[in-house]
Amino acid sequence: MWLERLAGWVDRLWRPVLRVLALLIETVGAHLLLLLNVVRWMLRPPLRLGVLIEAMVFVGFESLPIVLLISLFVGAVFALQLSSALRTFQAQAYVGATVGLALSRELAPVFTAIVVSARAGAGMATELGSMRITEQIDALATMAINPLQYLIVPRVIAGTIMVPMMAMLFNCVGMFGAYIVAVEVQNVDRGVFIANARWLLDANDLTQGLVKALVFGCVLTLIACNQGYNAGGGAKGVGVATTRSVVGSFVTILVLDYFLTDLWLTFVTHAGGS
Amino acid sequence: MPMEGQWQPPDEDASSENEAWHIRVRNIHKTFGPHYVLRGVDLDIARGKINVIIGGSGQGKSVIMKHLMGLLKPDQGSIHVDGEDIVPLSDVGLNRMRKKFGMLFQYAALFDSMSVEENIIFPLVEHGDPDSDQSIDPSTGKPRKRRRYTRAEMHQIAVDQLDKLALPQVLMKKFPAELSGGQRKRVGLARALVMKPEILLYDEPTTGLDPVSTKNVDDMMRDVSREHQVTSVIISHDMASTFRIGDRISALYGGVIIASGTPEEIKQTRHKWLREFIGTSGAVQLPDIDEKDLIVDDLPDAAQSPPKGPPHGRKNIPRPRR
Repeated sequence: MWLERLAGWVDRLWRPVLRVLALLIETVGAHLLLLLNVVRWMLRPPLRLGVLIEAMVFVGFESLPIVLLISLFVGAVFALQLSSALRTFQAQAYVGATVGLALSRELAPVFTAIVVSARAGAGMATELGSMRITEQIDALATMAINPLQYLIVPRVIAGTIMVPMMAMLFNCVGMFGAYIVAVEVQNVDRGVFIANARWLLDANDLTQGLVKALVFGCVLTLIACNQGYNAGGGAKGVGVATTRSVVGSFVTILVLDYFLTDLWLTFVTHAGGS
Repeated sequence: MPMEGQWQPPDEDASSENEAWHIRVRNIHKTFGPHYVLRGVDLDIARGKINVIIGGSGQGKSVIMKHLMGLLKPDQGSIHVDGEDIVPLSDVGLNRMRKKFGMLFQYAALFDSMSVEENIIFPLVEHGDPDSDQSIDPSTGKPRKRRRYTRAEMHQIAVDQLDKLALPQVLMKKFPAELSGGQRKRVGLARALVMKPEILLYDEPTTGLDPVSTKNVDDMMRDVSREHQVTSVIISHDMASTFRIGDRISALYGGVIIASGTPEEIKQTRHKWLREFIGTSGAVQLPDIDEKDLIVDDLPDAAQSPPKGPPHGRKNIPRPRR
């Protein structure tokens, strides 16, 4: 009797867990399939350079002002916090090095990806969702144009190229913000700030950030395009797709960040002995 | 005795079957989740004529239309376009086949980020001159590339299309959101016509239009069909339009085509539902038939399962050799 009751409890507890697990596998599978299709159609002519440049301008150039503004203040606030914290240990000289390390490895790729997914990713999901519900995507197909090749491929390429480029700019402007606050406001010695930053930072840190930004750029555009492309249910459906795109991108970026860092530290940093 | 100029159904035994029928649909079934929508549709689309598919809302008319262009794959059955079964075709094969088609969507489906001119020339930008030589180049073994139009040539084509469809030139730089419903449909038709399609599909072209615009759109469809010698397939539940311009009418009910024929033949139908459907609008006069001679079609349960066993599903359809 008690065994049956226990089995019932276990069943009731496991069912939602299994449902979430199935949903997770389904979602990841759908995005991997989309990625495969994107690669397949990317290799087929025609290459629509105009559409690609338009997507790159939308993802990169138009996101640049907000990315640069955020990077300036992220660098500045980090320098402020670290100056205050490191003063306790008389280690203010390491502010530049610490901010540089944090920016290049984590902050630049993660913040850039989050800003781009909030701005460009949401825009893509809304645009594609709206095209879906007004049959514009079907219209493309009826004109013998593969909608995936025309709409998704250029966006994914644009995200994969532009997010790393913006992450590098994020590093530069973030360091500038940190420099202003540390040197001009907190009175850290200019030479020490630069010398320590140069001593601690190396190409490996920048490459780590670059690779992360590349992966995030690809993933966030895939999520946005997948949500928009498969939107349904009228205006409400487009809203749902946009929300899912932004929330899904944020969560995926942060979760992926952990695993990418772990992989990088295991297979690159420690394996290389640096 | 047939009326003068009236289209005659082709002889089924004629050896030139493919000449008479542009599209032949055989026994297509389609389910969406638990909903069994198409239950063995057989449909013939006459070449060069205006073919109208009528049926109530939610009966699957648009689903049939999407099957004709390969936007949906049937769970079972075959769709022959010019004698070629399109069901097993790959994406590339479908794109080749779709170049024969043009489609006017219910709400025109114009690209809202493009101007009217950009919408009209969009297929030309993508595919080039539809009259180009597409024969196989012996040196490469691939079809020859289509000639690309210059900007000026494409502009001229857009101007000509607007003229043909009686649209003012001032619309050229406007965006779809600034157009009326009738204008949008005309621009949508202009976009469909620039690639000189053999088959034109219209998805409820007169829905949401006032009576004058409805008649204008009807005239436009009839003129296009005659002038360009295209096969037209129209989905409609507007009985006045259907009987005004249709050469052949097919009625969809309960997931199957219950009647097909010329407008005069359809008026003689004994199907009770079809008589009610046609007669309710008051636009078409039907001959009186004794109640006991009427055929009562029961609407099947929407959640009923499709037939089991082969041939069923795409995997059972052999893929063409490349």
